[in-house]
Amino acid sequence: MRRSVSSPVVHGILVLYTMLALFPIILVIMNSFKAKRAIFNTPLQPPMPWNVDLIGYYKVFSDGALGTYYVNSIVVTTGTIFFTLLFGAMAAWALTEYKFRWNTLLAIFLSLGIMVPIRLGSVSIIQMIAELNLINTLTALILVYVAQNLPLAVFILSEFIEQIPKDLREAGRCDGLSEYNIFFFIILPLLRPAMATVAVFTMIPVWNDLWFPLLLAPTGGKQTITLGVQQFLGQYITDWNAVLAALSMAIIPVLVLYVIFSRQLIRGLTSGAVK
Amino acid sequence: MAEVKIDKLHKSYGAVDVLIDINLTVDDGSFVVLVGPSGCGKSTLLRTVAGLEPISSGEINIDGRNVSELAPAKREIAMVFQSYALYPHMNVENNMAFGLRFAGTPKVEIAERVAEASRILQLDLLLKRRPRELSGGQRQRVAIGRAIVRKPKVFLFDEPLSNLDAALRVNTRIEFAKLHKLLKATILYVTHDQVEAMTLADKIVVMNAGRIEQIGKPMDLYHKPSNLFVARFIGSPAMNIMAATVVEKHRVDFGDGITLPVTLPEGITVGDKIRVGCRPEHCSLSAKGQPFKTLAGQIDIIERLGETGYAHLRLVNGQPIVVEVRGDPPAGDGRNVHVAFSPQHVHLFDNVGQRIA
Repeated sequence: MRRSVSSPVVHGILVLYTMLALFPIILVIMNSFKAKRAIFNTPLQPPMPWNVDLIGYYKVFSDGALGTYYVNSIVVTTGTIFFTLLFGAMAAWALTEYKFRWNTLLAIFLSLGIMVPIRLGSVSIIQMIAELNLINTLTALILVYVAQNLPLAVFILSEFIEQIPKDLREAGRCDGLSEYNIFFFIILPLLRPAMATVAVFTMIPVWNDLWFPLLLAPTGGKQTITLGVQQFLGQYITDWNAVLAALSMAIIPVLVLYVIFSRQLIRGLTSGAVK
Repeated sequence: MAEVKIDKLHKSYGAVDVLIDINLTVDDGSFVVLVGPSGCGKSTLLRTVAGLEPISSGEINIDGRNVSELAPAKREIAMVFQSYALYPHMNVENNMAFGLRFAGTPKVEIAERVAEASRILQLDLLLKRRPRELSGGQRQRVAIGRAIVRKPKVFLFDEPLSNLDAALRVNTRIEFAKLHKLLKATILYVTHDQVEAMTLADKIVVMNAGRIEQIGKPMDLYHKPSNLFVARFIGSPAMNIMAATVVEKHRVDFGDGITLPVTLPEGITVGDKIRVGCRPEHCSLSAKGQPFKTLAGQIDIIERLGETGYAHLRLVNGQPIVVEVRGDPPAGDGRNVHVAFSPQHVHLFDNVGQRIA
């Protein structure tokens, strides 16, 4: 067989791309350990004994509020993932397994959400949240993010559910399981790889979002970490040490979550179920 | 164990009738096989008994109780699927115990039942394995184990052997027969393989196009098929069927002036068109023609299976016919021969395919 591109070339391209993608992150982490002067004078230089300065981290850790912001971000992200997966899987299961009157219409309605950017509705979302007295709460953020991520989750999970052999559900029915138990004890465990995919897709934008935290929970100790970092960015003075340190720290939780989910991604879906 | 009684069952998908006027009784402890070509409705019938498909009208009784409207779990049945449908995320033990746990069976009893089933099916050493770590035959046994532990009134099998390779299929078939004896279970079993049906069944139900064509003991179906469909479906190779016209009392014409004496029942008159059937094993070849009892033909090919063989030949009127030959037949392609029928094994059908004698 003719090989049009040799593998060193392919690897070369991949390495180049990886470097390109990682460069800003490495720059942030590298400079977070340096003194302010070194950040500006030699931004590309790795931390050296003569320019190391942990003042940024010192400020981040001594600022009690930042810890709260971390927790806020983690609560919002995990809460969003949890509810998106739960409701997404339930909706996907209902839409694929049960034939009822508005089935197709409902599926179309849900998939519309993939196409319409939720930020277009920001004004009415603020009104709604204000009327619900949920301004400056994490609940507001979780509600909005779940709404934002649900359409894609339903779409992806439906595709996966279609692939689960019908016999398994019927075996469950013969075994005397209620429809809820079939969903929770047969379908959900088999959906794990799909749910990991959805979780990863959901997690990153939510963690990084600045828009809705700014609109819905800008004060009152309910800021997320992305918003919390802004306190170091002033109109005239920016505390770059603190900003870079906080951003470096902010990478860690997503990384941990990603590692957790990515282990599920590679698992086979239903190997061994049939035949 | 229990009796299953299906009464005037009818099922349709919209305008399409898939099961038409099904009346069937599965006696307590008997092994009944539903057999028929694909699309004949046999699996659908099984699924209606299981409660996985709703019925349009009629009644299904299990152990004297009308279960037509009940959920599968309430019918006290256990189903073994063609694909086995093992829960892939549970090991063998949990696969078997899963349903019992939801039924609220005490832990001790679950353990006992699983132990008993795994002893019967020789699964003891596999209890901690996941389905993907098992061979096809082992998965099959787990699927049966899952049915046994439920202690159902009726076992339903949906083509359980069709995913196994040929050698394993023969073994498992024998295992099924033994298992049936051991459990004294009422079994309703679907297959498209007439050999499975013949070897396993106490009673065979032949289905075609949503209807039951005939119900009977395997050898009754073999010896007295009630219509052409059953005659062709039961027995391998299939029965030879020849069109004929009654030319005089007790003599029929196969066309081109070949006539044979045949004992015809009352009510058949000269000029009636009938079908004459004879199984390959009840035909024989003879080199010399005895013009009043044999049909002349030419051998196309001889299939040799070892102990027996099948001569595929063409009669002088163009009709193809298969004849069983015993022992080691001489090479005979293109040879002119005569075919003789054993008269007591001739089947007669009227023009619409119903048996007349």
